[in-house]
Amino acid sequence: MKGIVFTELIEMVESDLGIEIADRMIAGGNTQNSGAYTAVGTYDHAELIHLVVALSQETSIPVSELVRTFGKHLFVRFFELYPQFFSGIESATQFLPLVETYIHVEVRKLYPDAELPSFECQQTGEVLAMTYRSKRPFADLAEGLVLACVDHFADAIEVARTDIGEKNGTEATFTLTPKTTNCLLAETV
Amino acid sequence: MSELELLNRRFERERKARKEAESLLEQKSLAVYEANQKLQRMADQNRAIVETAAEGILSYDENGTISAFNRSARLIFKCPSMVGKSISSVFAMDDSCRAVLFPASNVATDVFPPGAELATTDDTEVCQFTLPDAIEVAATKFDGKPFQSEVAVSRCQRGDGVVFTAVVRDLSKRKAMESRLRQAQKMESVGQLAAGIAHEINTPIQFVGDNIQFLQSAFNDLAGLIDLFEQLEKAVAEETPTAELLEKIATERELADLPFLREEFPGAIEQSLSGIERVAKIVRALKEFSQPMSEAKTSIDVNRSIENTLAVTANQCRNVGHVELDLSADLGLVSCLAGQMNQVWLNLLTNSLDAVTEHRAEGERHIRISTRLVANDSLEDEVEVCFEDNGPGIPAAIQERIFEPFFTTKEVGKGAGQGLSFVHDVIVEKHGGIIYVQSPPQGGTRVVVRLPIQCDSSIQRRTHARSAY
Repeated sequence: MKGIVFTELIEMVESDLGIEIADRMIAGGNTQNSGAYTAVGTYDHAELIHLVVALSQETSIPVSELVRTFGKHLFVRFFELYPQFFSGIESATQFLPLVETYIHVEVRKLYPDAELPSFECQQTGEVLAMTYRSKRPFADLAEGLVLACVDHFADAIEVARTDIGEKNGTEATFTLTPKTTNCLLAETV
Repeated sequence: MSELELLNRRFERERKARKEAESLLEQKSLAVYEANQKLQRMADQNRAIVETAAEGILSYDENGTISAFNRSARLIFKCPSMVGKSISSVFAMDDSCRAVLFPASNVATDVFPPGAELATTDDTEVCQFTLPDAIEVAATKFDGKPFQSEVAVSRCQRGDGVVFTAVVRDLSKRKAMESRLRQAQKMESVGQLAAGIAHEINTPIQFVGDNIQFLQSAFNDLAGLIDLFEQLEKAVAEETPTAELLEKIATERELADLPFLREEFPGAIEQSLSGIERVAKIVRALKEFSQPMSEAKTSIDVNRSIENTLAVTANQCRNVGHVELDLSADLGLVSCLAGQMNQVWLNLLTNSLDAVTEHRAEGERHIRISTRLVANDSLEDEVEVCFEDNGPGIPAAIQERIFEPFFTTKEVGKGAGQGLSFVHDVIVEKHGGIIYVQSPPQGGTRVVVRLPIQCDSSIQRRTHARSAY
């Protein structure tokens, strides 16, 4: 996993919860390099899990919620660091299909060895179904990213998550439905 | 834990991270350097390949500004590097040339026929045209001398625009060789025809000569009798004795054998006139047959054209015994290149003659030529000419190749492989007709030519078809 995920996690914890909690998270995570991450390095994804579990123990916040929150933070940071990917995009349903076909293609150019998750999108009318698949159990992280994306574009969209496969967090489908459609359906019912 | 201690621990993590980042940066720099070296080698190699390629290679952008111009291109166009110059300085940029040199991304143009393929790569759109037929384009050498070139163009969509790459071949030598080959073939045909015609003329000339010698000899005999008759006429008029004269006349008449001469003279004269007519007919046919290869179409009588062909090949046809003709009387005239059409019949007839002569015994050889008026799919009238023979036929395996230039089944030194290629070119390309061959497994060949009454290749150009029974 790319180091930027680790450095962003530590920075988020430092910023939101303070330097002491961040230090405890690193100490509790008992990682191989004692929390010395560089954004351009590549590290074992298990270390991130150890860090989040340690943070959960320190804060008593469930791991899934922490990871989802981190996903939202990551999206904001990605927008700050890589604004070119967002140029000319006006909605989440327009942006999310580009993750696989454009953003991941560009990432692979810089990091040919990057092991990226797959995001398969299927548009049916106004409903977008985005299926996340990875070797790693980070469906929560993906959910945080998707939710932050919807917030970023201020879309009136509801996101529903369905865990699929072995339901261990490696596969999930996120269904993005316009809120107005739901209202109409509710009125009809 | 004190804040200072926390900051120290954080500082230590940051320091370690920085060192790791520096190490990674060094590794990355090394990797980039090695990649650069590799790219440089590849670029050098590619440059060497392009520069030493046997064909001219030019790259240019949408405005026609040349960005690459290899060594062969410089040799072909006899010029220094044209990088930075316009493509129009080496090609005659008419509409058709422009369409070839600047193919659109949607390849369905008239210039690129079905078969042109579009290939794409992951990050680059490349239109690679695989052309079933080479495209000939008029080009200009640096000294202004025009020449025919063969061009294949690919189109490459890059981030910063479109790049076209043209592979160019100079066709001057090939055109000259084809011209020489055609001339040589023509001369060979002319030689064969001349030998046959000489033989055809020789026979009647011989018996006409014999008859005239006979008439001359007979006239010498008759001349003495005529003198005696004149003397007799004078003696009678002067009332002098005529007995001696009458005796002389009787003797001379006996010697001249007048009954024999009276019987033989009409035959000799008739035979001589017939011989002279035969010669005149051959000369007439030859004159019509060997009219210049005009580029202008004229109206011809196809039946007469075939008869002329038979007349000039009478000597070769005699080996067959009899070439059966079934010519329809209601064909009318066909607008075509008369001289080339005569050559077509000659080629088809020669093929049939060779086939039956080599593979059939005397008395078994059979060639039949027929013509008829037929309607095509559009219900327009066409003239159909059919050459049939009972030779060995054409094996199915080679039926696809018989119209290829230089393809021949004849032994080395006998066939140039140009006959059917020429026939195809004339019938299909120049007259918009069709030609197909049928050859059943048991032998025999049937070549069918169909010509529109108004032959205009620009209106309809149809490919030949081949079919087996």
